[in-house]
Amino acid sequence: MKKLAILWILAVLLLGGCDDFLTSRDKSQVLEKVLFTDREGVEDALYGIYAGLAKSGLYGAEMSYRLDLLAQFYEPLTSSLYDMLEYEFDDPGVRPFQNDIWKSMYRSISDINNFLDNLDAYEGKELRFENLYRGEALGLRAYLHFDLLRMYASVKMSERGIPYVTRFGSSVTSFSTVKECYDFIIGDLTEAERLLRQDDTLLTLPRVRSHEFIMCRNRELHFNWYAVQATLARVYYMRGEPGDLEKAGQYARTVIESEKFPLIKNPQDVRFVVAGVVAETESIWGLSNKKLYEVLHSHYVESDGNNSIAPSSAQIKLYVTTDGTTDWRKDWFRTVIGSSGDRSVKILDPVELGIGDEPAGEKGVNQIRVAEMYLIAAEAALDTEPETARKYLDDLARSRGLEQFNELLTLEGIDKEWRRELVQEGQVWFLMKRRHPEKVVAVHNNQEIIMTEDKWQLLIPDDEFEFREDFTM
Amino acid sequence: MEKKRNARTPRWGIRQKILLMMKLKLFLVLIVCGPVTAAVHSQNNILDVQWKNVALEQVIWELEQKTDYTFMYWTAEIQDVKVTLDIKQKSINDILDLCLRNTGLKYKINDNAVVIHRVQQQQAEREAERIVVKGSVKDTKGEPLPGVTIRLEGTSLGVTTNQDGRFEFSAPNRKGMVLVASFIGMKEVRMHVVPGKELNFKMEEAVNEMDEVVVNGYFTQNRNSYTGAVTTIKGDQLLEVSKTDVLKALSFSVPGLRIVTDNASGSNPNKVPEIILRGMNSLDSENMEQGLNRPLIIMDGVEISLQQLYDLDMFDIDRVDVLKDASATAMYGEKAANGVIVVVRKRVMESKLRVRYNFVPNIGFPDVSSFNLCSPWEKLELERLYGKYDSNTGAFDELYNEKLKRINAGVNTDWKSIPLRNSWSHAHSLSITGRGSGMDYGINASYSDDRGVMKKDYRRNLGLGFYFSYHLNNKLTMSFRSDFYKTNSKDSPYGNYSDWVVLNPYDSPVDENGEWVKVLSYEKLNPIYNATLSSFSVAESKRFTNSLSLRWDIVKGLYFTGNANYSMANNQSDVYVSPDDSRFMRTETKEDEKGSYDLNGGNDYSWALSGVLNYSLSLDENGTILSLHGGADVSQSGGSTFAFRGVGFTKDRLDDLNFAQRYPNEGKPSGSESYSATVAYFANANFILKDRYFVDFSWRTSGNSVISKDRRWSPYWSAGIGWNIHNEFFLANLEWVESFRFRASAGYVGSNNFGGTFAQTIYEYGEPYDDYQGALPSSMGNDKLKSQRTLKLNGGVSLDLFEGRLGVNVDFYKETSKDLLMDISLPSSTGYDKVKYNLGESSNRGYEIAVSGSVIRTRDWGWTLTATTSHTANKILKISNSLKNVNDANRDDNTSSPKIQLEEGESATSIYAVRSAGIDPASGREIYIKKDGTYTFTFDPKDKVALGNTTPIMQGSLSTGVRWKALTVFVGMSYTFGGDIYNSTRAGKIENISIEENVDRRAFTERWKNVNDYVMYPSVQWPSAGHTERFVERNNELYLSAINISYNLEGDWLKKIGLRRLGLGIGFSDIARLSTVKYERGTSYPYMRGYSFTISPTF
Repeated sequence: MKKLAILWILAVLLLGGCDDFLTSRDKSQVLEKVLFTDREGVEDALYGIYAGLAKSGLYGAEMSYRLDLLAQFYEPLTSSLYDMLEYEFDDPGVRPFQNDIWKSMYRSISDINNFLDNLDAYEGKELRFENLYRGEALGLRAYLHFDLLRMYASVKMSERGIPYVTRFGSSVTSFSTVKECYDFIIGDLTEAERLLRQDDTLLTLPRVRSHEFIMCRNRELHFNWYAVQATLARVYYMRGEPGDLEKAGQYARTVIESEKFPLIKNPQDVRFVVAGVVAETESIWGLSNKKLYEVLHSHYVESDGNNSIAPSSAQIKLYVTTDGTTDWRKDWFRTVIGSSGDRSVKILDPVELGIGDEPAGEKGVNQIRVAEMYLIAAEAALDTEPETARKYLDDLARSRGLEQFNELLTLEGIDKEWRRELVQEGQVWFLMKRRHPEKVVAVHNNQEIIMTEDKWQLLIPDDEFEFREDFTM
Repeated sequence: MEKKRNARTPRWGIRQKILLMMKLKLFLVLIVCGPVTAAVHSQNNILDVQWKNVALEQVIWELEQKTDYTFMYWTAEIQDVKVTLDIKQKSINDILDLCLRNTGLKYKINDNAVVIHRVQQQQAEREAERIVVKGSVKDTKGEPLPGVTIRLEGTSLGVTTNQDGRFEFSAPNRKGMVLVASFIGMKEVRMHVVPGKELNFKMEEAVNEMDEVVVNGYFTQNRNSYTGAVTTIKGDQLLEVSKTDVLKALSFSVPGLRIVTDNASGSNPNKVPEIILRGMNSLDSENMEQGLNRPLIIMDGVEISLQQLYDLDMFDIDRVDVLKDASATAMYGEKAANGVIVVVRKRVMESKLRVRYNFVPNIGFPDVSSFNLCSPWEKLELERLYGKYDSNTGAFDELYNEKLKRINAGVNTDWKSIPLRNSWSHAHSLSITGRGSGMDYGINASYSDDRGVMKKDYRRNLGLGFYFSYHLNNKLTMSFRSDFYKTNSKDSPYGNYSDWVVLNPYDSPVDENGEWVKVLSYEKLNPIYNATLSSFSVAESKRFTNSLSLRWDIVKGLYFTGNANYSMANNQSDVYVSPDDSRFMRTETKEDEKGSYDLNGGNDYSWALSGVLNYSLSLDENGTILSLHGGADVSQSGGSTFAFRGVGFTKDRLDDLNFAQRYPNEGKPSGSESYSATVAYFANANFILKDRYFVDFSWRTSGNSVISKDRRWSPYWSAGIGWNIHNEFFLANLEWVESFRFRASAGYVGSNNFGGTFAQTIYEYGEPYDDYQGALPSSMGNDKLKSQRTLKLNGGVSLDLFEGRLGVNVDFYKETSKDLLMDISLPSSTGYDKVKYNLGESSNRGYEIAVSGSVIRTRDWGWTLTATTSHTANKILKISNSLKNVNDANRDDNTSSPKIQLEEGESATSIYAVRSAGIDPASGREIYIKKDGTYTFTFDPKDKVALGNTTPIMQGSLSTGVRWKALTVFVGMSYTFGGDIYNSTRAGKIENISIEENVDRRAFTERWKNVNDYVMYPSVQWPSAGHTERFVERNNELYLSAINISYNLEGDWLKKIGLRRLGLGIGFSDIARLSTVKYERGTSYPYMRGYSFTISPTF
């Protein structure tokens, strides 16, 4: 029987520790458990999240393109986009982009949550930049939810908001009210703010282009501490509860006064300041993507695509000056090879278009530029310190080639400046939503559209509701 | 294999039973590791013993256990002797001296045999009376049989035959002595001793021997106490049906095993058919019958793929056990839900060098009789009726007249026969076996070149293998087997057969100058042109397998078997499309994108280790036996694939990948790597009481890499009971009842055919960000995932009457599968559309009946009849929300025949169509019946209901074999009854025709033309808008699938030319078919009728 005992011992030894043995895998893939075992793996996952956001289907191109259509910036070259300009969100032709953006955004949120879960469960060697990882991820989670909330929910605090998802997995998160959503967003951003303090030293001017640790280079391509500040400015500005505008102004000033994001000195440079690059000095944060040109070209330059558009004449008129100065932003609209008539080429690579040299900055797309902070700071100071407000607006105007801010120092004047400065960046529709006018003029037929409440909210995909019930398993 | 054969265990004296057990064990030895040889025994056994008033028989038994000696004695002589002894460190001689002191008994040791006998007064005289019986044992073919046990009836005295089959036996002379010759696999033979005369035994093979055990791939079980549902088929039975198509032969012989009908693929040799045993357990709306419900296939203890079985040399198959219910399959736990097919290849059974060779040439003829196409004139007239030439200006008159002219000139191209040929295939199989110096060895080689009926295709299989086994000290037997297989296949350059039958008969393939016409009427491309180019599609796969098995007899009744195997394989497919191919003519393909070369391939490996400890204990003399088996196995497999595509070929004949100019736009090389592993422990206990009542328990737990970590160890079990009624007193006297057995089983098994990594969240590397490669989750793992589980219930009766002349086997089953893996749809705020869940449920119930009769069984004549039938019905109990969405999409999809639709409460193979009230004679339009019963002219796919089921109510086979001396004739028929079919021929080739293509003749004759036409088909203007009831037809089929005639030649003239035997045969396959439905068969590849010959010399 001794022989038998040996046999069994052998058998047990052989099969011992078979957990790893029993794990399926594929070479082109990595199990999350395996990925999150060292610094490199964690950073791979973080960069994966950024790459996901920078895709053309999301912030890379689609977000700004669609939202600026809603902002009545462009004249579509195809009638298939008319329904969209009339805010017929329920139209079968208009629904797909709303579904896609919702799904892509939440996919990124789930990626972030999975990242955070794994970071919590991390058991490997101490992570030198753990605060940065967690801070950036929390900040991004708030950033995405904030954009979702601005698109898919009402501006009224008590109305249905969106699900604020903080867990990875098949468990379903219920809808929160708009007010609750803002609380979650501010909560995550506040935590991110605490964790990202290091950016004091990491994010410098001029930017750090190479570094021993990749987390320390190109901080403007990460959701850095200043991005948190800028996002908080946006959040409070958008929420608009009593006192919020002041807070928004304070956050905007923090960014401006850090002097790490100066407006450009030479106004002529403004033509290419955001041209296919994350603006070298003006961008508080942006996403890196080297492959956007073709998509952008098909939207903004070609004329036979389903999504081809041209700038509205009203937009072009905005840059006309009478005082002999030049608003160099006018060059954001011009005829290029392959186009007939003026096209919106602000965010297109000038080298690819054959109209200029390689601009400074990393290739990609801007998320928040300091110009927006000037506008928010100006509006916050408008009633209490009008001179400060004027100063911010003058600074911006001078940077663009003008003597001074030429409009009246009113909300309307500031709004015009938003339209001038932030075209093609997907922010102006949010401003409109904040102002909530009763009527909007559709750009393609100059008809007034009566803005009912549902015209301010994108439609959430049906399957968000359809499978909610089923999922009580 | 000499003396040990005589060993008996006196304590359990009943000879008959022991013999049976011995047979079984020896049979196991033979199966697992080949015969055991005699060994040199140590005679210097020093023992400690302690007995107090113990029966001598018990003492002898104990001594047998502790030493290598075998005892022989008369039971009656030692019956009353008791022994009291307590000594240490004594030899066997000392012990025996003390034991037999004062008993009147004496002993004698010869080699390792101890003979005990009573000393009597007249001993000397009796010694003188001893006689010596000599003789020989031969088999029916006159071959001497070594190792046969010759026993004196009523005693334990005996010897075994030597290498020449001879024996010499010395015994006290008594009257009426009978010698019994017994040998594993042979019928026992009795002969009376006639003093002074040689006894020449002739032994026949025991036909039922094989049926007495069930091989499950891990161990062998006695059928006498087996509670599972199993069908055992011998290799020879399979060869009766087909010499080359193992799947066809299996599905013919095994009730409940069916080949999934693939009407499109016909007799394409390069298309491995799919098989299903009993019902379908897994649900999937895309590839329901492809792989998901495939049974597990085990060959010599190693898992193999369906393709490996398909390519196997049939002459190498010894037996196949098809395990069906929980009791039979529980040892395979998580892989067992779809049943298990256990294949055992042939082993060395004879001592002399044997060379066997089989040559099977085969001639195939295409069978395209189901294509009933229009003649040129009919087609042109049909086009005219369809308004193809209607015009106010007469613009089409010229075209019409041109075609008419051609027809009048005699153009009548039989397009459907152009890509076809009469094929010539052949298969060779060679085996050399022998035994010597304790070693068995065998060498196999096989080659087959299988060609289909479409021109220039082939499938070539090459197999080379060797095998040897070695025995050590009667304790350890090791066998090693190594095989190499290679398959080369080529698809017909003539492409898809359906491209040919649609061509119009008034078009000619060549022009006046004899050049191929590139473009035919209606801009159709001439497929002959492409077939003449250098384009090709070939594939090659190679596999090298090695397996080592061992059997270790630890102590009596306890042995260990182990198996280790390793195999590696690689495969590659090369597809070249010439730049001159007509597909590049139409579209504006750039010059550097014309032509393509696809190179795909991969390699994989797998290894497995398994060990089983087997113990059997006989508890009394009446057949009460406890058998225990327990063991573990561990396996791992992995593989990698690659795929390249090159485009831009400049010349047709530059057909090497080397000539590609670049990758296609957006294209890049791709590859993947996979890995999976299993660890399992299992145990089985079987107990039979007094040869009548038996119970069986099996248990297996396995860890599988597919399943999530928390649920990874899932247990499977089965329990079975049975009753041998034939051993009850009230039946024991009925001579004509050989066996009458009830059995029933229940248990849980699982299935994991879905593969993949659904349980875990996987990160995939994608686009770089800021020049740094980031990774993102590619799927959401469900860490709660577990194996699909199937509860299997089975009840059965086996009857064997009139000395095996009538055998009946009936099984009823019900299988309920739970936790079926399905996608479920998630709200998108979770980030994902779908996640895999254990959600679905389905059930199958059915029965299987097999009846076999030997009507005539004489020396010269034999006549057997067999009939099998099986029924299975599937019902879907629960599906997921996501599957419902797919269903809706499938429902609305207007393809030529309805797509799979899965509805709760219906069968997975239901056909869904809109009910129809026929063609309105007034308008020529079809009247549809909505779900609420109202009539309408408007077709709405939402009105579809289940109107039929492709799974027949009954299907099975009928066969008969007649033997006259050495001539045998076998006729096999198969049938299906009660199934339905959606007749897409009628739907697509008669009704919804494309007038630019050639169509079924009936399109010309049976359409509605005038008011008050009562016809089957609506007017030309109103063809059906979707799947309708009119095309759901009852498909009853009777199929004469095989006739085989064989003749075995023997005789001296054969010996003169160096042959021992010569088998000749001729077979006809797929001869005739009767069906209630008329439809085109073999739409993408035609069916084949074949004649095959068999030439099998034995040297």
